[in-house]
Amino acid sequence: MTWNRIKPLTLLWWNTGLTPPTAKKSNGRLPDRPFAADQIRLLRKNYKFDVLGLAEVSAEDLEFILRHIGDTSLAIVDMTNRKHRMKFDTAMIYDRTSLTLANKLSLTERSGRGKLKLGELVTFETVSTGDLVHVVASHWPSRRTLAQHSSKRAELGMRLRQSLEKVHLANPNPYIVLMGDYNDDPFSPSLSEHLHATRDRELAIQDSAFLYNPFWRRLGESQSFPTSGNEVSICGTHYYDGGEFTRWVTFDQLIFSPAFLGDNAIALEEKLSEIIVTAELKDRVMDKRQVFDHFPVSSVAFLRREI
Amino acid sequence: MTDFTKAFRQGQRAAVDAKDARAQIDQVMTDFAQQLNRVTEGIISIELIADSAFSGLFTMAVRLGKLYDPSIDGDNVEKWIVARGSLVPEVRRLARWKRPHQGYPCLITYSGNEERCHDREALERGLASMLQDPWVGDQLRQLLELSKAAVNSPTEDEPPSNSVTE
Repeated sequence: MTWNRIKPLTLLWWNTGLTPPTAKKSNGRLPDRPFAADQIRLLRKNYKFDVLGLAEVSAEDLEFILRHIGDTSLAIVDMTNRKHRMKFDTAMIYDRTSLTLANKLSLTERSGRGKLKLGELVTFETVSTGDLVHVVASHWPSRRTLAQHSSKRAELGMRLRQSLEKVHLANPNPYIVLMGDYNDDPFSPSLSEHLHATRDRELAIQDSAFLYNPFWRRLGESQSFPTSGNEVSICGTHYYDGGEFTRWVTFDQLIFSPAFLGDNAIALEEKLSEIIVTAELKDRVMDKRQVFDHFPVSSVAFLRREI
Repeated sequence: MTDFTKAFRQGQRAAVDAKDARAQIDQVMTDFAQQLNRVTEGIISIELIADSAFSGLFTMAVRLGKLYDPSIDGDNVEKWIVARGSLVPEVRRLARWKRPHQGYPCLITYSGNEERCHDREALERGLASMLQDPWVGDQLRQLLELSKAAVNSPTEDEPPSNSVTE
């Protein structure tokens, strides 16, 4: 088929660090709100995002951020909930001139006394083409609360994949985007084996049981050695100064269903899947006294119409 | 040669396990319904109703002492956990309900939440969580208030309706 590009669909994810699940109060780290809001305003200006998934935010943070940005075309899907022992700290900001909110669902698994939060499934309809795009925002437990090799990490991946089955029942080739801070790298078994988020694009195209993870390509140093004077090289989305074998990890990712890789109305533009680094955020991320320890990540797909 | 004897025995064991799991789920649902009926002094009864019941085509809701009836908890039919007022002709949908043939996991979907429960304790906690939800709480509160209002107002000969409010 021959396609005409209509507009980009830009999806971003950022774990802000403002109100972590362990925070006792929901008013976040008040002095840091203006910086975070400034960063989001810059993201809006530079990337014209359609969806921005956020983690470690509270309802109060969201209200502040939206007021600070002052863009009336933006709306919030607030999925935060701090009333129970298990805290929900994710949200989405979306552009309501390009997307309509169709549905939202909080996905949890219970086993015995335990409860796992898989993510928040939000379904949007694109205004220009009427396609449904299902976005799941996840903030999986940190490695301090759930060890790197805990079987629960495998369970998170497996259960998240199973919870998407109902989307496949309604449409065998759905547009699904997973975004989040998984506290696991793309190569971790939870994502690569149990969620089936593969690095193998052809395999994802051939077998709809798989998802494609373009962030496999963002594991190493972003600039080859030797770097030129002005180039800033980073090798991950999250920096932890006390890391034993590496201080960098790629915990923040966007993962796509095979529909984005086919001859379809929405197509992934993979080269625009990237880690967004600004000099001022990098300074804060690498300063362990600061609350900010993640970079935003972005991916772009194009909405198309058949000619 | 494929060991069909072994496969057969495994299938028989699986069938028994599934039957036990379904019986356990029925027991949890019955306890849930009975407790709610008791705490509301018989004003609210909990039922499972097939989705098609709402279309008016047919109803699978078999009321047994106004409580949860496991006999309708079959497979592959979308169902709702509903609250029915005993004093008013009102039915409130509380949650979507899905239970596979093997019993677990049961899926409870309400008010923007989807909880998949993998064992008895998880199911009990999932149902309790549903009751704690503000939207579900509101449905039950409204049903209670309607019932109280019906008791306090003079009775009239009104034909029963099947009005369902979501």
